[in-house]
Amino acid sequence: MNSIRFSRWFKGPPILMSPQRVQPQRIFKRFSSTDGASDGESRIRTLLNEKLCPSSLRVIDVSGGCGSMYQIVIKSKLFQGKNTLAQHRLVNSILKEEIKGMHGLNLLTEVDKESSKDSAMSEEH
Amino acid sequence: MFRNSFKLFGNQIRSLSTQTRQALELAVKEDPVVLFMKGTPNQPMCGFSLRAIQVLSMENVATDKLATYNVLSNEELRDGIKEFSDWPTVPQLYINGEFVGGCDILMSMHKSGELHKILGEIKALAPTKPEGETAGAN
Repeated sequence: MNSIRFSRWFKGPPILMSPQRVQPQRIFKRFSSTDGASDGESRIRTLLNEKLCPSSLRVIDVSGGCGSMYQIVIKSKLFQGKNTLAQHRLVNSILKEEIKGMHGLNLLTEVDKESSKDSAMSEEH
Repeated sequence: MFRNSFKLFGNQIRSLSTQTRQALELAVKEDPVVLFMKGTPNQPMCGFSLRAIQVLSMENVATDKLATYNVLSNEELRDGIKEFSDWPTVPQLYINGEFVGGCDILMSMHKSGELHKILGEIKALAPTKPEGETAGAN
């Protein structure tokens, strides 16, 4: 059987060369609610609001407006009962088309643990 | 065996060819910890891949338990792994053949200690030398 072997780094100590200047993990660029939001941010925001009814959502284009890299921080009740991977997969599936055009995505999900019975608010936004 | 290039099969380019799938299935099981990244550990080609390898380095993963694959070296690998994992981005980490996540998940698991626990359970951590204390018995 022909086996495809992908070119592979031969195992060796993963020593990094010189200490790289690591980018800060989160780049916060605060824009006012809708002013200055790029089209990409609005689209993503709309999709996530529709499908996940998040209790908190932050979508920031961290590529300087190019739409190539986004940071998304989202908290939703719909994440209840899902582990982190499942939460991320859910967001990935909602944003599938958008992600195709992105270079990268920095995603942070959080479960909104508040039970719907306790909350007097409607889940509809 | 190292093969840098291979042809896509036929004119029908299905999103993930059987052979690629089989090769990936083998690759993720061959080593306890497998990272698909852009570039190599000594020369990561992307900030997220850099972070991923840094996390593994900080966790002190044993070098004989870790394999990395450079998706930039091969287009079919690059596209194939996304299809295979059903995950749109690279880097991607597999532990014992199971997909764990990308850079974000890795970092949060590292912070929470969960990653350390999992790596310890599968005995993928390099032994740390005791500092200043003598071992009980030689």
